[in-house]
Amino acid sequence: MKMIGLMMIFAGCASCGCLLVTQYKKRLAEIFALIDAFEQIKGDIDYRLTPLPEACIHVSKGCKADIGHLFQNFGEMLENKTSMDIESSWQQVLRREKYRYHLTKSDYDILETFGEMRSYNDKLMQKKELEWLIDKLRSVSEELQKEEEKTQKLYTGIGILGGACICILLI
Amino acid sequence: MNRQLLDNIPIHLKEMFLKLPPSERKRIQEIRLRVGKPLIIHTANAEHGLNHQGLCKITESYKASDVDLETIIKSISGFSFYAVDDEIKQGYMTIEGGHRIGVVGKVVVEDGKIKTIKHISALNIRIAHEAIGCSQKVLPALMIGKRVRHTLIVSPPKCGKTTLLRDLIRQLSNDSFTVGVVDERSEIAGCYKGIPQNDVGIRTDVLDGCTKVEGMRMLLRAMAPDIIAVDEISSEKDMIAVEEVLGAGVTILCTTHGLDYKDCLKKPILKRMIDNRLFEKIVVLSNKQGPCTVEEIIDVRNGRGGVVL
Repeated sequence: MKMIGLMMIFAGCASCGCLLVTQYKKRLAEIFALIDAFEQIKGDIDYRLTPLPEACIHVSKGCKADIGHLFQNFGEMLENKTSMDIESSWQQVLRREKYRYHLTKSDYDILETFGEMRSYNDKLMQKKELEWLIDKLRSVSEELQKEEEKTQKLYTGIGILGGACICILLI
Repeated sequence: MNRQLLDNIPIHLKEMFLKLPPSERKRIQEIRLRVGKPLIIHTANAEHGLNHQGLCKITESYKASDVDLETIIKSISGFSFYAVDDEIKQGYMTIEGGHRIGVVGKVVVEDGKIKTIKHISALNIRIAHEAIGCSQKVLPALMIGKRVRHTLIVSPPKCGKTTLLRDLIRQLSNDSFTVGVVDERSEIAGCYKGIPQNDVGIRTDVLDGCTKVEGMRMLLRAMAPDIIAVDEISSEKDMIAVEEVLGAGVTILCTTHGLDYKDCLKKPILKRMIDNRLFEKIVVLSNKQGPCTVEEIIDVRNGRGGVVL
């Protein structure tokens, strides 16, 4: 009985480590999906002069990692004129959809700047703001990629070692 | 006044308009909003103010604020000024349904060209009205056998040039003609995301937001139309494009600003077009009995004119 208990503790701790690794991977995938989405919005604005709500709805259809919900809801909110303020609409959507994602506070801080785009911006200003946002996300993704292998080993190791330590202490 | 327009105005203004009975709202032709000045509504032959009680004297009317105007601009541009930049430079924007919003304010000029308009101080919302069937009486006079004559519709503003043109397009398209429309200001078909919101018939192809000259050439090349329809021709380039259309054996239907036939002859380009017999019929409209009142239909090639209807 004691052995079964110890094994369960060990397995639980090891899976916690694996869970952290999965979350890390999902976060990276979401950052990539966001970069893709913002690149597409930039293209839509630059090449086709698509208004922001339409560009967001358009982009939402091809987004990976569930990111489409963010843009779909934001685009619809603006198109239906539920709110006349881009910033508050975007923040509202971020708050509402947060539960779906594995992003951190610092990621959300970067994402919030998307809502700061001014409706009176011309094409060039709009593009620059999006480029700034994409650059920020890209540097986060590079950092995450660089640390990926190390972090994976670390989380898995902590899980296994933590489990083993608890087992030893209990014995 | 329909949903598309009401959705683009601030909520307190929307409430004022919604208090008006639908029959009153239908009569509205223009809404003028000026910062700090009373809101004025134009119907066919009168001016009114508007406040929370409904229609009122202009002196008692609601005074528009800069925030009201900013909200309207934000909304109609889809929170994206860049998307309507070219239209703003020309002083107007067209929204879903073909309603035109005229804009004035501080014009920003760079290298002698208008860059944009900032500090918008007044808006003139012109409501597009579809008048299904208004061309019923005019159409027989424009037909010669199974062909439609090259026609110019002339009238001062607000007399229904575009309304008549739209209905002609609708009727001809539903009859059997393939009609190509170059809708530079999105007023004829009132396209939203490329799809006509006004009834322009079943055989009508619309080039929305395209310049007239380029549009006419594109339609000729790509869509093999029987008829090409454009609004408000005036420049030499327009004339050249019209000549190309006629050269391709396609009928032209177009409109221009002018009081009457004599007024057209005072405008050099228009005079040349008439002298060169580019048009066979000129339809002159007025507002005497409401928009689309036909004053005369002139047979240009025979040099005959007269009150027809």
